Amino acid sequence: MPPKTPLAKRPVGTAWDPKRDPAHGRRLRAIPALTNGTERRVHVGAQTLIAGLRRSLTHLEALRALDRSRNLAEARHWLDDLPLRVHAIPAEVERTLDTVPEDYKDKRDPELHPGLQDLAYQITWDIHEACAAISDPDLYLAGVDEGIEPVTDEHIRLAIWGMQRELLRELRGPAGPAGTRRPAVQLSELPNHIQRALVERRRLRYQQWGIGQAEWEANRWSVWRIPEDPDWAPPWVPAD
Amino acid sequence: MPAPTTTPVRTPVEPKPEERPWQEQFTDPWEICPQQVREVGSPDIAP
Repeated sequence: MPPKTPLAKRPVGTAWDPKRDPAHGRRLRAIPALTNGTERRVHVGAQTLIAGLRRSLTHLEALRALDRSRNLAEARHWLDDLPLRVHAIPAEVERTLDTVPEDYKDKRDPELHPGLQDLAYQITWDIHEACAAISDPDLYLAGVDEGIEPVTDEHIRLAIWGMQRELLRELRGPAGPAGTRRPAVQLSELPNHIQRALVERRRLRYQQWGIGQAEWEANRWSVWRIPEDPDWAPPWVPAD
Repeated sequence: MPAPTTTPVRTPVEPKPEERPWQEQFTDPWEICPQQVREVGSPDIAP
């Protein structure tokens, strides 16, 4: 069960589960993964950001301080220049793909920075919704007509392949001996209009977290480019 | 004396595979763990 106190009022360093917490605020929700704290100090990344506090800072207070305080310019800059891709093998971080590889055998793929956990959940939630087309071939999944660059058929094929990689490895199913796990959904077997809508949404989702083509090419993202969107709530958490 | 009652026995009908919700046939991507979800984001591929 998520805590009843809103994220904005909870002290930095308290438990945070973005999959189940209904907290509002697109930018604010990125803060728990990027900060830690005790009663007397707040850390941003590996740095001690604020020490000698009389009481714990809430997430909203920390965000406001990071945004405005002259004394926190270094931490503000750190949050402005974070890596987009993270990889267990550092040399792999800069590798990107522009076509579907013919012989892909990697056991570990690059992942989004932990501060972008909500973006990851949003993309996966869109996939979850698209998969309803397996049971309901008449499913309508809205794509994105405006506000993004159109996606090409080639990009749809690549993005669908990219999302499929991890789904093929991560199987779940009833508890029991190996072999009872359910197979992965096959995204390439969804109707073409569903695949297109899914990839258009993926492009939109990146944009909604402040990441466009330039940020992707530079492999950087910024907390300050995530819109504040104080009323935004994750669609994957049921409303009370 | 009341007549004895019997509970009708119903044989469960196994739904055809095409009638089952997809979550019963496949792994729901929503079930995978937070780190793997970040890999599904596939940031090595352009938005």
